[in-house]
Amino acid sequence: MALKISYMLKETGTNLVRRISLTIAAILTISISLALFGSSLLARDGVANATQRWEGGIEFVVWMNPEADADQDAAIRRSIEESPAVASSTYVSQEEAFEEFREMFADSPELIEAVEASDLPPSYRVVPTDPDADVVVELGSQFRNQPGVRDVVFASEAIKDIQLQANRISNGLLWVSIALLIASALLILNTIVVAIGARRQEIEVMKLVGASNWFIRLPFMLEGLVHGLIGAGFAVLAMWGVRNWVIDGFSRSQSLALLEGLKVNNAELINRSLWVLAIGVAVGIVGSAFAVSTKLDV
Amino acid sequence: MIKLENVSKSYKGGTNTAALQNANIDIGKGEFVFLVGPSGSGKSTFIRLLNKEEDPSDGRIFVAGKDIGQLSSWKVPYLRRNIGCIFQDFKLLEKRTVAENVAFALEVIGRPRSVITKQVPAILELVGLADKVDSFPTQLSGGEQQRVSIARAFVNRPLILLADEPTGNLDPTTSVGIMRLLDRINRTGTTVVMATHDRGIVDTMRRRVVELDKGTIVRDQAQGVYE
Ligand SMILES: Nc1ncnc2c1ncn2[C@@H]1O[C@H](COP(=O)(O)OP(=O)(O)OP(=O)(O)O)[C@@H](O)[C@H]1O
Ligand SMILES: [Mg+2]
Repeated sequence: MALKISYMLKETGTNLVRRISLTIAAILTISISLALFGSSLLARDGVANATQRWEGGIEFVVWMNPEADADQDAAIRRSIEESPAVASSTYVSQEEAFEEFREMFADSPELIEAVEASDLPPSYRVVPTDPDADVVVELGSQFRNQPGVRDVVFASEAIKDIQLQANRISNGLLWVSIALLIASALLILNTIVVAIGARRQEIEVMKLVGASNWFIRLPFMLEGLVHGLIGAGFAVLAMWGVRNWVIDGFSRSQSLALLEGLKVNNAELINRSLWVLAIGVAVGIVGSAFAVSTKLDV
Repeated sequence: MIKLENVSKSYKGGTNTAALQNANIDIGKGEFVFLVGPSGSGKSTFIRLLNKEEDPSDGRIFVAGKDIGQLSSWKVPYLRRNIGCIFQDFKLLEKRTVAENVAFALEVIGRPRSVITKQVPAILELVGLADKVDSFPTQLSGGEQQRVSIARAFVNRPLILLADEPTGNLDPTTSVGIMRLLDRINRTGTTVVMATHDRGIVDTMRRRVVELDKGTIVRDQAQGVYE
């Protein structure tokens, strides 16, 4: 058995090295397609995080002062609840705000450590009956200068627009990357077909002397698997780069306040990386399995 | 050891006439059988059916008591481990030395290294190539190359040795050497089936002769002659 394993690895290694240009082509294609694929997933996560507080139909948020007294709070609550232009509203207490904060910064415990529930402002999330942007802004502005209110923030058309555009871009990336993934699977298939062709004589002799089918097939399958795995490895590196420099770069830029919330935490990044590795392996196996089953019949 | 019952073979997309037609034959353990007949009469087809390189269109084939038509595809390699094959064109791997070519046959069926290092030199000694172990096939004469291929076919001690015109590319003197070797292998109890056009060999060896003509067995003669 030990001999078999070392034989398999040796064969796989020689196959990879002998056709180094094909190997590089296959690995590059799969790296690029998986990097695009992974990045589009990350972009999705980032946009989802950035626009999270606008989900659920909330059109504007009235942020209270943490120091606002009960009378001020009651007045605001009353005017929101009694306004005919308001369809519904939710109160987010300091504890709830802190809970959300903890979820958003789950990977920065030092930040959570530094903040207490009492530091965070409570807020009202308001859905107006009329979603027209002008009406929403008009309505929201009424609360801006009332006592106890710190600020009013709108989920304006601009944010929705950004969300839409961002999703469009990440969808586009997704489709391009899927097309490239198909190209990579075909490239792996052809690489393996070439490898099988180059070893025709060896394979003929192996069959003749009674080598088992998996013994003949496995080195080729492994070759495809290695393509997929190495390609996915590079793609994962690229994804960490995208997160650390591109996405984090956006969220650090002071000029674009809208992009502040654009972030991808480590848990999401690891999750997406595992996806990319799994898909790389799957593409490698599918490509080589197809080559092997069509070109290596007993 | 080998038994054919009403075996016919037509190739897909081939000519209308069958390559082998309603063949019945029984070959015992340790027999030496010559297959003769004109070109295209079905000798190679007969041999390819025995190691399941081809499947019959009709009829049943038994090898060592087993109906090989019933064999599932993952078991075919195990059938082939009991059948050695040699050919007119040797089928040696040019990038491997003589010893590596023989060792390859054991490696790929998972024999341990200790067995390989013992058996390869022994079999090369037997076929008379002890001094050529590190040569490459291109550095050998045709006769020497055929000895390597015999060593490879026999190193696993198969029950049956199939030979498709093993002397087809060799001069008469060299052929005699190869036949001596096959005869020796046959004397160890190995069943040998050999397709040949070589009248001289068949007439001097005087073994069982099976003659094919257009896919039909037309003669089956003990201690027979070429014609
Ligand atoms: N793979 C194949 N596909 C189609 N027809 C084939 C195939 N192999 C052999 N045949 C046909 O089957 C018949 C028998 O061929 P076979 O090779 O068995 O003859 P043979 O006796 O070995 O001839 P030779 O002495 O020339 O080697 C021939 O008519 C041949 O054309
Ligand atoms: Mg022939």
